[in-house]
Amino acid sequence: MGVLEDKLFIVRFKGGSRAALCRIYEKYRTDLLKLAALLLNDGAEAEDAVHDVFVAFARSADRLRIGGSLKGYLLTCVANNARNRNRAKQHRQTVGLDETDAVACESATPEQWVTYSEELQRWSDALAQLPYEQREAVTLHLRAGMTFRQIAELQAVSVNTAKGRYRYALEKLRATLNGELER
Amino acid sequence: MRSAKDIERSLKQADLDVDVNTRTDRAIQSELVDLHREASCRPSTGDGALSRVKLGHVALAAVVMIAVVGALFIPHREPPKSKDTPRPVAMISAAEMLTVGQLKAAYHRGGLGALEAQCEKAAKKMDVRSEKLSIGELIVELEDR
Repeated sequence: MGVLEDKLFIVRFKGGSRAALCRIYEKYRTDLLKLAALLLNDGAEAEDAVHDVFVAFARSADRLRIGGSLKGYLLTCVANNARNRNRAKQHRQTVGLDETDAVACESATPEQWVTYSEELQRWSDALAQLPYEQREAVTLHLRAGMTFRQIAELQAVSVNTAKGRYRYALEKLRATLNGELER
Repeated sequence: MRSAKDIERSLKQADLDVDVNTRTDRAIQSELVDLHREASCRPSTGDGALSRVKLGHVALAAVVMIAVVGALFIPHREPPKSKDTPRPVAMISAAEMLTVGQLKAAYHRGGLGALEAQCEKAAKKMDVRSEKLSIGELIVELEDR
C-alpha cells in the first residue's frame, strides 16, 4: 500500500502537483531527520542536510528517476549528503575554520526546526564515538533498513567490508554503552 | 552487561522521537512548493531532446522489425488465378502481358516460343517499331510510357 501510494505521489509530483510534494515531505521528513541526526550528531547540520535533500528533490521534478522505493531513495540522498558534510567538517577542523563557520550557520537559521528526544540524543552521542564508516554501516542497516549490499554500494566497498564495519561498530557500541552503565 | 545482540535490538527498536516546529515546517514547505513550481515551468532541455532521439530510434527499430517479420512470415501473394474463362489477349494491357505471372504462364503454355510471342504481342500493343527487342528494352520502354 505504502509503495503504491509513493508511486502515485511520484507520478503526481512529476506532473506538477504541489499537494503530492507536500505529502511526500510530511510523510518522510521525520525519518530523514532522525537518520541525519544519528549520522551527524549535530542537530543544525542534520536539519541542513534534510533541507538540502528536499530542495534538490523539489527541483528535480522534470528529471527524477526512482528505480526502487521513494523512502530508500530519500534515505540514500540524506546518507550521501551527511557523508559530504562529515568530510567537509573534518576538513574545516583540519584547517581550523570550524568556529567561524558555526557562527555563520547559526545566523542563517534563526529558528530551530527540530527538537530531538533524549533517547535520540543518547544514541547519537554513542554513535559519534565510532569512525564515520562504521557509524554509517550500523545506522543505515538498523535504522534505515538497508541491506549490506546496498550499504556496500553506497560506501563503494565489498559486502564483506560493509559487514565487517557493522560488526566492529556493534562491538564498540557494546563496550561504550556497558562502560556507561558501570559508571 | 549487554551483548552485541541486545545493542542491535535496542538501536533497531529505539523510539527516537523528533518534535518539528510547525512554523518553520510550513516555511520550508512553502519554499519547496515555490522551487517545484519553478522547476515545473522550466522548459525541458537535454532530457527531452534525448528522449525524442530515443523515441525516434525505437520507432525506426519497430518499422524495421515489422518489415523483416512481414517479409519472413507473410506468404507472397501469387497473381490471382482467374477461375473464369481467360480474358482475350486484346483485353490485356501491354504492362499486364509482361508481368512475371503472364510470362510464366506463356512459358508453361508453349515454352520459349510462346514467351517470345507474348513479348512480341506486347511490343505491337505498345507500337514498338524495333524488329529485335529484348525483354529488358521492353521494360525500359514500358517505364518511359
